Amino acid sequence: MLALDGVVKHYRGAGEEVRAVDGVSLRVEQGEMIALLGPSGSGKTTLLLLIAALLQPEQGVVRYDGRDLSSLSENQVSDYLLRDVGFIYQNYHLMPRVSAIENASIKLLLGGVGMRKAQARATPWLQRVGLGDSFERTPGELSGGERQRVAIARALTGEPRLILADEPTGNLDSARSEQIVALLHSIAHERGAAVLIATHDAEAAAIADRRCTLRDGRLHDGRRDGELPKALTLRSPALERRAPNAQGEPSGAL
Amino acid sequence: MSVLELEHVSKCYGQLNEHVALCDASLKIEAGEMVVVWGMRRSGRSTLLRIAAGIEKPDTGVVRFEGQDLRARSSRALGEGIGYCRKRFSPSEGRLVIDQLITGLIARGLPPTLAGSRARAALERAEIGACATLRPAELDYAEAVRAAIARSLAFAPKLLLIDEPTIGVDLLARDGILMLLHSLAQQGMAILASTGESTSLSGARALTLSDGELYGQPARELATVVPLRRTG
Amino acid sequence: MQSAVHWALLGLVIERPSYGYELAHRFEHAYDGMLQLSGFSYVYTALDTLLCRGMIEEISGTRTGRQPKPRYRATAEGVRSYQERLIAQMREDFRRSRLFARQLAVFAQEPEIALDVIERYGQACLEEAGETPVLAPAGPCADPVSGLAARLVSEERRLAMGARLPWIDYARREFKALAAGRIQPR
Repeated sequence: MLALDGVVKHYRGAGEEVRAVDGVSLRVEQGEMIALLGPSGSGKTTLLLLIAALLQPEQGVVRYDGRDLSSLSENQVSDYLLRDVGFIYQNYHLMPRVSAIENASIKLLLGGVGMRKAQARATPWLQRVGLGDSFERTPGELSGGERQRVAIARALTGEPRLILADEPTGNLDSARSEQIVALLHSIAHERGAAVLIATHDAEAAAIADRRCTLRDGRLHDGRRDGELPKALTLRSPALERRAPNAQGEPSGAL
Repeated sequence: MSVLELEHVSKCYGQLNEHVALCDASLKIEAGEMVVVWGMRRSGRSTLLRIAAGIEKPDTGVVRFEGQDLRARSSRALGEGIGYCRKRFSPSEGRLVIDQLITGLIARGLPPTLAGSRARAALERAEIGACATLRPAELDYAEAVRAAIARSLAFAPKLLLIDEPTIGVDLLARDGILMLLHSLAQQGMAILASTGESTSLSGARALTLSDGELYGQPARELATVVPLRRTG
Repeated sequence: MQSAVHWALLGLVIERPSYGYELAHRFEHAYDGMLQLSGFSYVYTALDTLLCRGMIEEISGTRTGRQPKPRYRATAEGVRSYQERLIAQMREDFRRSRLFARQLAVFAQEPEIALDVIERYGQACLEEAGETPVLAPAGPCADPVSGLAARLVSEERRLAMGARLPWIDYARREFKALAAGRIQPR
């Protein structure tokens, strides 16, 4: 469903150039949940933004269902963001004067669904994240953890096929974190959505089907057991950016 | 009846309330007036704006919008008529500038076509109609301020609140923004702006905020023949 | 040459060579609110002084015809002297500001009086800043000279008032601390 090939994105920060994403190739199939691990500043957020077409890569290609995202028109990109992608932002980005149920319904509203129907469709998601009795509250009346859950419900409303989560459990206690991660995992499996979750939390990552580590802009694939395959540790820089192999395993250099 | 009235408003932060952001501040703003509050950093000017907008509640004192105590409003209705200009544009509210405006309108229940035309009209009023299809990140400082103003204008507010309207703005563009604000005031809007610079004071009734205390004319009618002490 | 009016007149000649009557008119407009001519004919007295000191000269050929209207332009010496004068004036402004601060300090034992002065000063600054017009951005047909002058003056006014406000803030704090008896005047 999602294919990245040699994607590169730089930033210019304080006079020097930072390679936030430095030649990343990745395949994601539907029904998969992938945990993206790595220290802060390792480029995880940038990678998610590139996949969501909120940023354009300088080199390389991001393909969704075979189509190169940078070749899409403005309208097509808007549609992609609205219907195919559910993005859970690290800073929630909720509209401040608007209730939880209205925040959660926003994607459907923008897609032309009427207010009543949109809210009806958003309701079960708010319930599933445990905010069933906070529909009318505005973000100002919710705690940090509750706001984060509204943001999660918002991303899931509309049943997107690709869910991108940037530290979705940062503000949640361990019980809630587990619940949310389990929810995301079940969505991947029940509905065949692809879920990419950027996280610090190794335990949250344990439940994922696959783990990848992003370090200094480079992606390292992990097996289910969390070990780096031995072959990868021996690769020389000269072999970097090789095309992915037939099984679609991501390649990367150390 | 004033559009905005603050009566003996105080606000402190910190576990022991050690940081005094506002101390016994009183202020009245009428329709068609532009008032600017000047203050150094940490003078309390941003707090003043947030309390006036109803975003934060004061510890003591009353805030009235069109005569009604803001405490009597429900949280959803809190924003009605009050346009607090948010300067940040988050990707969750839309990819293009016009989307950002439309999103806010639709979230409040406006049908999409009406939301679209209101958004376009607001951008035109803020003189950045040409920026509608740009991404927020592509706007320069001046355009970003105008877009923040447009986002509030789309709701036809009676009171516009803006924190530092000319900070970071190119010298040549500053006056344009002030002129926009003054023209909105001329059309009957009440405007309260805060600033740390001197450039936003032109043409407005100005007060200074120092360590949470407001100095200057608290209301429009007072003459300045008699030297004034602090308000409140 | 001390008179501010003389220097201001020299400035106008530097800006654009003119004849006497025109200069008098321009003076009113250019220095409105800043300087005043005691009378129209004073221009001719001032021009004579400038001529004597070699700051300006008559443009040859303009004193002909039945109604001679000599036009004047600045000499190189005049331009140089004008520059020096501007710089000297700047220092004079700085000196005066320091003097104001020192003069306010006499109220160390009676801080309430100082606070009263500070209030009026602050209010005056705010009003001055408030009265500064918001200038429309220069259009394509705007007169570059008057446009430039208006913007420089306007900006000076705004920034000068803006520079005073933090000082007022600071002075207020000092005197309030004294009034509260928290520190003894050193």
